[in-house]
Amino acid sequence: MDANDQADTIVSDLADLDQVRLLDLQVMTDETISGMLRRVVPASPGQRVPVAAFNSSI
Amino acid sequence: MEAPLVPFRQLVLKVHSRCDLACDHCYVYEHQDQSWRSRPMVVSDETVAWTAARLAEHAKSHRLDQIRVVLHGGEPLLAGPDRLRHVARTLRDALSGVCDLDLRIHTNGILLDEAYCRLFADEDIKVGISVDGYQEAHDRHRRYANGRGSYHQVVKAIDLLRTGLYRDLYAGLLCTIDIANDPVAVYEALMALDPPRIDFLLPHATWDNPPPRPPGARTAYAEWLLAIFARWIAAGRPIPIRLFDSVISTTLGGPSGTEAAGLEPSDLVVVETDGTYEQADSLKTAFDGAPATGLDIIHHELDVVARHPAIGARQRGVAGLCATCQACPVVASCGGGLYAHRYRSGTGFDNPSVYCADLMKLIKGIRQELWPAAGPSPQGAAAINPRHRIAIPEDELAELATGFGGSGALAHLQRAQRSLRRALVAAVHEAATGLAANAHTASARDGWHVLTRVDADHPEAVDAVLGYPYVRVWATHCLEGIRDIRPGDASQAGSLSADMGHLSGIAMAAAIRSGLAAQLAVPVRNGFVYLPSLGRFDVTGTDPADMAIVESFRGCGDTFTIAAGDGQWTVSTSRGALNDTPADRRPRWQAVRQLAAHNLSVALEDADAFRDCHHWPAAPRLGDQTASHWESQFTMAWDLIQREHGAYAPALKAGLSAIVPLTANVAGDDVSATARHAFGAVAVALPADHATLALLLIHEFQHVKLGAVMDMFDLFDAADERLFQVAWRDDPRPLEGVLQGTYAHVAVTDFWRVRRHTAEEAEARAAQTQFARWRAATAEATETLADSGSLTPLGQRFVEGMQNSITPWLAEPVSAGVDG
Repeated sequence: MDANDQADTIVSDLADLDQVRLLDLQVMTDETISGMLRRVVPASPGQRVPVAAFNSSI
Repeated sequence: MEAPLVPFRQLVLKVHSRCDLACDHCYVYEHQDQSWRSRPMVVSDETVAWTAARLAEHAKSHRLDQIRVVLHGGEPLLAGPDRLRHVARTLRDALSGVCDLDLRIHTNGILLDEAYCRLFADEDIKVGISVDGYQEAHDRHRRYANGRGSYHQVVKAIDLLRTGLYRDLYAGLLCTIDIANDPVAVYEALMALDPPRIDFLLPHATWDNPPPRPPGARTAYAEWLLAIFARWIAAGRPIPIRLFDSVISTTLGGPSGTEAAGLEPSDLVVVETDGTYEQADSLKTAFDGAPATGLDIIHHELDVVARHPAIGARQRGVAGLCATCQACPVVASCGGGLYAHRYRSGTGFDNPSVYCADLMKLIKGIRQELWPAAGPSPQGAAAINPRHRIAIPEDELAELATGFGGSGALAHLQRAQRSLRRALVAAVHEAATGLAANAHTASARDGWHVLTRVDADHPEAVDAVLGYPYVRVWATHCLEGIRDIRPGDASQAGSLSADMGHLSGIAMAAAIRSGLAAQLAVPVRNGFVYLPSLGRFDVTGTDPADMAIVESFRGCGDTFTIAAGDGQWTVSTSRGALNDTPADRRPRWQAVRQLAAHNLSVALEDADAFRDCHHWPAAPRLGDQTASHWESQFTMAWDLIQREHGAYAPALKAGLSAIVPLTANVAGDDVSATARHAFGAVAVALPADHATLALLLIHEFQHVKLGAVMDMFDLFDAADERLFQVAWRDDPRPLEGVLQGTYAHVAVTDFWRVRRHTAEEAEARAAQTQFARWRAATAEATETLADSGSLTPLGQRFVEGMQNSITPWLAEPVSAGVDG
């Protein structure tokens, strides 16, 4: 379902990867995968990355 | 309506306001803001103490599980080791028991020596260093006040970090771009310093003070970066490069990971050496006083800062951008670039970035390189952009909340599961590439390549295998292992890589199903070669081998060969090994059997390598007679469900895909379980009668449904670690356990509610008792959930749905003398 298709829907934060080739998933960043899987494989606190990390440090 | 407050998760603490270099491109000293002149050189003990206290207060209030603090400057190492140790310990002491502290320092590296490294190792402080490439590139700007270059000193510092004892401290390198430098040479010079990650920073500039570029070279910075991008891709993306990863991530609908691009809300605050709060210090490039908030650490809590309009202005996503950016086809990846780079006198920050043309070209160039078929057009980007989030109609979620839910609701849950499984297997492949190379990781890598080949032409075959419940169990096991791996533990790493090799078995299962020709080395685990969803092949009795060669053939969706040790077999998935010798009395091929009821067939899973995940031992491979008995009991249980508990039948029919036999409980109690990661599977020790089997299936499938809902939505605050008493357990349960148990017992209550009318007399009386007992217990549990204060709004609606089912049942009459 396209989240925009129906008015009375509850939209999750899961991207619909049904039509995305496995090969294309290969270039998803660690942060993207972690976001997709945060409920399935919660990151240990030491491994979380800010979603908008401070530009002047790494 | 006031927007919800975005708590700070990053704090930059300026521990020293001066620097031992005089870089001519430094935004702290050489740009518009000159506030450094009036600031104390070193942060005071009082400011440090207040910073720690404010952070702890903020983290507690918002139940944050982690905060990142970056020690910064000026040059933070000028604060000296004693002060830095004091800062680290004060922060850790204040946050101990509150949240985890990710503590970092960013330095020019000039003063970094063995003593500092020991300090940072003792205090667990990760170290980032600024270096601009090869010597000539670096020394173009990063010089001492006397004009001498700093390259050699910086490389000496990096050498301390990148080798030996202090490698774990090495956070990465930041490189400020100068388009006069050879980009590929800069990249190769940085890679030679063996960093775990790098980022390239556009030099701070505004429309008032634009960046240097040759006349007419509107996109010189993009071309510079794209040259590096091409080299990085050709090398297989050896390390993360934050800016590139950000564009890729946001193109695919993920977070940006940087404040320099994307639409993520800023959650960052700076504390200066004098204790004043500031916005991100890149704003120093805009105008004098640009980062100021007028607030300070002593007089103002962090929540007050979080509500500052200037902080809020950077949290509004697309709505916070100028009209040009809002209409831009690459806005999801660009996000208007770094906030400071939008500044122009007169219009403030309501402008595109001064790097707008560069960012457009960079993003389109990255997309064109990675997704050439889609192209950089808006339509093309939309076609590959899974910003189409998985959603579920409100009425179907409401139906699930009542404890029921039909095939429509299951279809939406299954769609989410398919996406999660694809992300999981991609994540396992990515993780495997990061482990030391060996036969198993090579097997995983090769398995991935075969799987992507099958996926290109036969996605349904991949879906069938990935959809097998214990593939997700395997994948989460691998990723949890990677997450929890102890550095330097070779045994743990070896075990993990062996598990990851299972990916090749998954790939071959998909290849066999699709009729694609492929050949892979598949790990032998405990004497078996596993092909998930198809079965396993017993290779014991041959010469021991770690790996077996499995080969599938074009157009033969049923037949494959296995070679292991000194044995070689041709196998039919339906008929077994075609060349078992007479001496082989046991069938080597152990296919996944099906329990075939009238209109429902589920796998009887007694062979998968990862099925033993239910906190109760899985039964060993069943004999044919036992399997046959299982089938007859299952058929009768399914008939009963359809006949008397029909509300649960559609979801079960749509979603139940496997049953794992468990070992019997010697005490005679019924045993059943589900595993959160085994969507579609129920584990049961075969009970004495089919009615009990029906109840156990209904009960356990409630857990399957709710687990899938919780994969999609947050129903409660996961940070709430309290335990709650429930009637069905002696031990108090965490909130998730209460939610799961309550949801399951809605169905248990309903089972007995019906059973008391349909069972024979003695059993009907017992059913009355069960109904009365469980309706009261479940109602009480829903009150516990509702009163917890930790349900999200969706969680509250879910609990209300359960209460809508239970409440009428409380009013139904039960026989006199039945306890409830």
